[in-house]
Amino acid sequence: MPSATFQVDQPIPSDQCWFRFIVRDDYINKDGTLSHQALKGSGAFSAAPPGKPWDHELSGAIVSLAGNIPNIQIGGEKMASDAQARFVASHGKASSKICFAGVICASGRELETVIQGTPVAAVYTPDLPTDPAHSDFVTYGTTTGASIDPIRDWLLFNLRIIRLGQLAQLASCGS
Amino acid sequence: MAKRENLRIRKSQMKYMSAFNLPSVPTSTGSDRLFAPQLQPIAIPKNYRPSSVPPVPDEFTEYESYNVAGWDGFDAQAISGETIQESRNLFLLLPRELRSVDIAPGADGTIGFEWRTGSGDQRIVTIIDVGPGRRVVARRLFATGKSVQYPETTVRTGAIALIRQLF
Repeated sequence: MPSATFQVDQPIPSDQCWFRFIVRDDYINKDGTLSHQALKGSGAFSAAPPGKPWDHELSGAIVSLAGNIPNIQIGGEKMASDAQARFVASHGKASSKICFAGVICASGRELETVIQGTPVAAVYTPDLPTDPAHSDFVTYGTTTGASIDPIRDWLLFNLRIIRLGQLAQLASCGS
Repeated sequence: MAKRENLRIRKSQMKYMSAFNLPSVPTSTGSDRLFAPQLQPIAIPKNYRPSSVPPVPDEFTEYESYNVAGWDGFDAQAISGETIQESRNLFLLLPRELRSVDIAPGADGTIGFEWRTGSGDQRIVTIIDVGPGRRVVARRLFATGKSVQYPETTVRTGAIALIRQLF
């Protein structure tokens, strides 16, 4: 059972793959890299819930717990569809940019590190019963929004991007 | 000299008006008066509405509707019309070879321009963010973890110097 290796609020095993949906096509650059704009805003790095040992979190999930690749694709399409529905509700028309464009990912080993003095890791944060695969990339000791900037910069160089048509590469975490 | 020049212009005008069968009207009452062709009114269709002519769409057209919070379907800050216009102005200042830039909106109310160069440990990301408002900020990130922040400016006051400095 893969879940036996996961402990709530603890870093995910080093061989596990953490991922996050990208639901805008302009957040993947023409050369296949991640746009710096994709990691901005409180939706990208939100303050940790009270009682957690970390300070900010970037929501994502663990590949091995999310089912198979088609399930992950369905999840991404649902997230994009929900975002599009909210856009239509507020704008009266669809956005040409909101869509399930792909995922960003990295292994637990790659994400558990120290960036300019700030410890970071992907931790297991299941949202039961709806999202048992949920996992956050978290930062410790980031007291202000600006203190997350070096983390965002580091992620731009260290996350892998898998486009929608190549989701099968998630099986090897994009490497 | 001026009289002779006016005469030359008038002859040229008469030739032009004659060629196109245009009537002429005086533009002044002096002895050296010049004549300009009388423009004919253009027939405007009754159903013509100036606002029915759409502007030419560009990279920023979609973002014009992001002037309300939540444009990303989540909780993004609104991007003002001022920021969109300044982004257009910045784009027009870019040399042709820099216009294949990646452009994307940010949940912090900005429009971001991004260029990537190099590979492996030599990778460099150059970023210019416009907004919120007229603010323009630039950063250069290196794969080694180093980063350089450039002083804040605006398109009107310092963008050309900033582009020269970056590229």
